[in-house]
Amino acid sequence: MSLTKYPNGISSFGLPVIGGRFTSTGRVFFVNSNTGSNSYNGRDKDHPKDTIANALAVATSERGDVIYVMPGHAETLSTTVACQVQKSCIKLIGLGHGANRPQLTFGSSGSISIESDNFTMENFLLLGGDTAIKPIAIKAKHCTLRALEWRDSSATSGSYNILEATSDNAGLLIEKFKYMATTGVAIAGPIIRLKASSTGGSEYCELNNVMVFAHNCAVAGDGIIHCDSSSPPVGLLIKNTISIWHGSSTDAVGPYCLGSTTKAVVGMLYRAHAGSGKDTDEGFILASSSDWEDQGVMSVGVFDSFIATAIGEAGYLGGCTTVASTA
Amino acid sequence: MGLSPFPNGVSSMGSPITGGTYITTGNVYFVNSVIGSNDNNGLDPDHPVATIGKGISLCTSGQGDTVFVMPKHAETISSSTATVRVSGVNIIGLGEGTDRPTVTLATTASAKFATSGAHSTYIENLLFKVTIDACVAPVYVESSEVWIFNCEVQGTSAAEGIDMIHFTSDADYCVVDGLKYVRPTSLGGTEPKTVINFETTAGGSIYGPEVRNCYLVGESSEGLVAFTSNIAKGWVHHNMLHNVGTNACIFDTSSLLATVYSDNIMLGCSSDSGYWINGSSGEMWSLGNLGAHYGSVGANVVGVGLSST
Repeated sequence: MSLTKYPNGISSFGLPVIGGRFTSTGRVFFVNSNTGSNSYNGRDKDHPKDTIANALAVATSERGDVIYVMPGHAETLSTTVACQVQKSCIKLIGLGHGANRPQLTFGSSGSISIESDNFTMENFLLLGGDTAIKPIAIKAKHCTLRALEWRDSSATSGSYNILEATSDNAGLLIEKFKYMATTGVAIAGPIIRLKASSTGGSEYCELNNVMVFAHNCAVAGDGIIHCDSSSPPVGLLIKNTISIWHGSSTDAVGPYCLGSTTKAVVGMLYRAHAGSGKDTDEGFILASSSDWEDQGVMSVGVFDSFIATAIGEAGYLGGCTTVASTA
Repeated sequence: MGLSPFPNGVSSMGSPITGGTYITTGNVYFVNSVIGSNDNNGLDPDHPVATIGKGISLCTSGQGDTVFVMPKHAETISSSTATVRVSGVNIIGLGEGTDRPTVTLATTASAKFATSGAHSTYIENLLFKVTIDACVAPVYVESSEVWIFNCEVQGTSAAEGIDMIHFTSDADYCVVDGLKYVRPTSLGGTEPKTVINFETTAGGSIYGPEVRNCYLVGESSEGLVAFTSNIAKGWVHHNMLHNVGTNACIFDTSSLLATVYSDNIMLGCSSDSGYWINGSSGEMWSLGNLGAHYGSVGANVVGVGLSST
């Protein structure tokens, strides 16, 4: 079929209309593992590329290209940097609902490496069969990761460092992220890690609507959201985030930051439970910076040090509530 | 293919431009009981099929096909036979208020709009009406990953459902978002047990259910939202729940673990042990909820409670 080959869709008043909620002057490409081929140009839904990497290869930087990953697409990423984003200003949009969303299955070392700025990834179901470590590495500025759902199926250990910002990640937005571990597994690292390098930190990052189900898991992850101490984030905003983390944790189960963070704000409802094992050291939130501010934080659980003690020593505490469980 | 099946629209890059923010690369079909016929091919609004079931039967599994149910569509279901049997189909009602497509459950208490073996079904903007009292499960979900978005369920005079929406053990990772059920004053009929009930049978379990942004007002003998038996990693959040009867807003007897209730506004519950959330689950988390209530709200709770006494 496909209509026109008009590379940018139809045009109204000079603005391409691509049939969704994006208005872009870029080109549109399609990806489908079921019907696609790398021999196709990917320019219409009947001739999609077969992998995301092959679609990225034909996209162009700085043009606002949109890659639609079609319902039912399934792709396994087994090797380190199996998919590399080296073109900026690309939108990678999954289509479909539920299990019909594009599914990316990560092996223990399989990963996507986002290395160009202004990249958006939205509406994917991410699966960890083995214990995946650092499956999505963000090494670029102003990227958006939205409506991603991670489901672990490992019966022994949970995947971690799922979203790891490892370089100059200014303006990173993580929104509507859901993580579901297998109940009772050990998790050896944080779920989201903001880790700076010599080129810079993670300035003005925002984490909004993050839900972590790590039930009955033995945690040694230095917090579900971990900010490295060497070059901590500036202007970090965490809000509307929930962690259900019942188990014998050995470190803080909330945000964790030991560095000289400036102007970090946790304005959210945020809860966890350490169960009978309790935290052995850190407490609910651990931060050493006097600029770490917590507003409206709510927690429940058993901790060696409650939230008020933990962050009361470090930063400003306003409107926070903690309740100890008898579990 | 060709665009011609879109006399009232355009197609771009193979993606029909359907208005609003919706996009699909699948096929599109139209349903309208007023002007439609199941002898039509359903490919354009002037030749719709007459029933939702027929529209779905035209769809191909897993490619994101969409059935648009047109304004004023009205369909009555009197049997328990599943309507939705194809996976990955989007069923989207068009129209506002009483113009919305209406599915009426009638005649027999076993009548239901059901999904069976149809994972990843997406249902939006349909009005479900119950005209037979004690209708066991007007909307019955027997499939995983089903999303019900911005729909409404209604009883009518002397007719209510038992569980207005019932999810079975096959319904992992389902979402109810923006459901409306408003019955502030009983019009007779059997008091519903629940409005939304995730309930497993012996040996079964349901993982990852989510109920959000719903507005549920009415009587229910257990709770407006219920997690019954083996539910894990369930999440009920940002809902407005008012049980105008004497029972709880949320009923949780999960024997599995980690159900979370957060950021809900809950009212009512004048008895039923005095809980917004009447739960026996050992690891049920009530977090950041707000409501007027009688009595204690139990353990594992952070939030604001205003005693109505």
